[in-house]
Amino acid sequence: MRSLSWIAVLFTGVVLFYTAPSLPPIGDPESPASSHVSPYYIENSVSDMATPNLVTTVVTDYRGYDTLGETTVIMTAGLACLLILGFWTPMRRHPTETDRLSFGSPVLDAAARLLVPYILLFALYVLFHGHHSPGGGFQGGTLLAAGVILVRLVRGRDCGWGVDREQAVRLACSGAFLYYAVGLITMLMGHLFLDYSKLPLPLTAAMRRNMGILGVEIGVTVAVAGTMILIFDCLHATPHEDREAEVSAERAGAEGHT
Amino acid sequence: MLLDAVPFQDTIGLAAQLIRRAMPAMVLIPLGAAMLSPILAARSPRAARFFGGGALLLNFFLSLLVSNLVWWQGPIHYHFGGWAPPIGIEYSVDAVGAMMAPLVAFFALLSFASASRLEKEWTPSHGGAFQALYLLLSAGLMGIVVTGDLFNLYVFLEISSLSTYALVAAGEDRAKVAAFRYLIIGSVAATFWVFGLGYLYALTGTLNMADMAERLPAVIGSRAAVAGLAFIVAGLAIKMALFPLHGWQPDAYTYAPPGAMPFISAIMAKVSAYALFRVLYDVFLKAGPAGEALELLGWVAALSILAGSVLALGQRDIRRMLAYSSVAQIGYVLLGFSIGNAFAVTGALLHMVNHAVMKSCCFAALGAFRAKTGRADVDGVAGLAKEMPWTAAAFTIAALGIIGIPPLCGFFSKYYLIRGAVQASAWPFVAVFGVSSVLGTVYFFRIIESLYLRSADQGAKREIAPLSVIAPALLLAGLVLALGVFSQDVVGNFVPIIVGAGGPS
Repeated sequence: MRSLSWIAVLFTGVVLFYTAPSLPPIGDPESPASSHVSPYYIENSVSDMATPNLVTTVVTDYRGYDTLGETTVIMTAGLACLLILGFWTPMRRHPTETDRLSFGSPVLDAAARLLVPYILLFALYVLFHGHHSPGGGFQGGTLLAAGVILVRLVRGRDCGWGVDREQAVRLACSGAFLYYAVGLITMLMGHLFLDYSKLPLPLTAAMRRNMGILGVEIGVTVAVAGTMILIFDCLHATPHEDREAEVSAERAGAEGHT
Repeated sequence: MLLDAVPFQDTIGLAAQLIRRAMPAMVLIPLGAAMLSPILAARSPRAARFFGGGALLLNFFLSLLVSNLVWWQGPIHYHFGGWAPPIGIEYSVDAVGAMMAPLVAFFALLSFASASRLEKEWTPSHGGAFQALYLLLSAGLMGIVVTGDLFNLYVFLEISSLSTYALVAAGEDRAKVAAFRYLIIGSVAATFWVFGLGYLYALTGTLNMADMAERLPAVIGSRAAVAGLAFIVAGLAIKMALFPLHGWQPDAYTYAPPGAMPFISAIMAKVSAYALFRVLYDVFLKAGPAGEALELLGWVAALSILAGSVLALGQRDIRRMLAYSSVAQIGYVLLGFSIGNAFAVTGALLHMVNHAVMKSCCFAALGAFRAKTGRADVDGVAGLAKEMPWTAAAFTIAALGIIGIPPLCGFFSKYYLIRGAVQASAWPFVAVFGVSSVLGTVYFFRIIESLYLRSADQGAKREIAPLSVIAPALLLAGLVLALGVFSQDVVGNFVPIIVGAGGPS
């Protein structure tokens, strides 16, 4: 079976090496990929939606429906973890002494206290500056979650800071729904789904699109952050029986020491 | 009063306009319901179940309306965000899509009842995850059916695949191992699709299917175009579980939770086959002849038919046997596409619908047997026909349909497939159809014999099978009969439109 896998992998590699040279050269301005739709995006994205970052305009507006799908994919991954691992014990609101299984030390603790506010602030910067520089919802959401997860790592899994697992589920779903809702508003007003230029805002069409992009980016941020925290919490949750055993073993260990 | 003032013709026109505008809701309704159901389930699981069921019901009605409009007025196109293709993403439903959409919506609705009953058995800490994933699966499959954009198809392929992995993993015993294998090989399939799409994008500069069909002839002869098609076909062949790429499927079908099973077994492979149909007939064959590629696909399909039938013979577990039988049956569909004349394509499209109904009927009936005896092997169902005459009859009808006994629906799709093969003078393929039918008779009659002629094991445990498990089986068996009896109408009314719209002349 293993040798068969190797043959399949090698065969795919050979096919790729054999066929890739007949593709148009990378960066060729005459190639179909650079001459068919791309010029439209390059020439019009500033006038269409007042946003200089082409990646953002293509991802969230011209092909915004794909990104709704991708946000849903991320939410799906979180829910899949919840379904497969999630019947394990939920976190307790008021953790006992043994629940605080941190591997923190004073140094780590101080470093985390210093870092976390800046991580969260940077997350917001990346989100809101996505119109102008590399960034946007996916990156911002990952950073937000990274801040929360850092605290979890240092202070223990039940530190009670940030959001708990149930709230993370709600964040993941409501973030995706926020994206969906922006599209739904325009659809219910009788226009096309995700047509931000028809949003009921007292602005020019290009600025309405700009605001629409911001709206869906916030949705993506919330969905991604919620999903990351949810997956982290699912992965380090322990089954009910194991948890009981773990706690009693620790007690026995503590008594043995004294 | 208001309606009286509007002439009748205008009312119809208005309704048609409304349905056109609401077309993408076929995907958006289950998608939105999936996002809301974990939030709702945290407050009231019962309300969440009604909400999910209501969304699927609404979706089924909408898909019927859209289908009727497409059959009446021709294809519907929808441009997301107001961007016309190839700048933006397009949904386009033609006659074939109009056949698939109600099929997907129907099966999603049908197995929801037993699926949500299953979810109740899980602890509430799940937060409605099972139901959300089920709704995501139906949204993903529907998205594949209605999209006119190759990358958008990939996104929805991912949504449906991810949710299937999780749903399969929610089953019993070795379900998690089966789901893990499925995850690995399914990711390979998705990678192949992206490889192929990347090649085609580099060659044509577009992702829209119709636009690509226009721009492809200029580059169709290049090595990269052939490789692009080959990667896409290989990716979809894994998703369709064609032999020898079927390895994930028997385990996944065996251990998946019985609630989600009729839906997954009926629709997953069909939607992948439909995606292949779109790529072959809406993109590549519009760009130019591809006779050699089609002939190669025909041989792959023939191999799949024979291997699936032979492997099904050796199985004691009925779920596993049905899974191998599906490997053979999806080969029928692909063989029809590859023969490529009007009869064969008619047969293949008809077989997608018929096999979905027949196979899910088998799985639903088997679910009822299991609910009663706790077993799913050939010996476990011995003598059950006395205790469960209706369910046994439903299973038998579906099995006879798959074998191809008239007047059941499986006969008619096989008839068109064989007629197409004869017309194309493809005698080896005619022989393959014949041999596989004989093998099908053998492996299904073992079960029918066990059901009717053997006596039940006295000490076996017996429980009462709930109505929510039996009713779908009976309904589907009725459909197997109805689709067969009214086959002439189905073929006469719809297939000319379908073949005229998307297929060959």
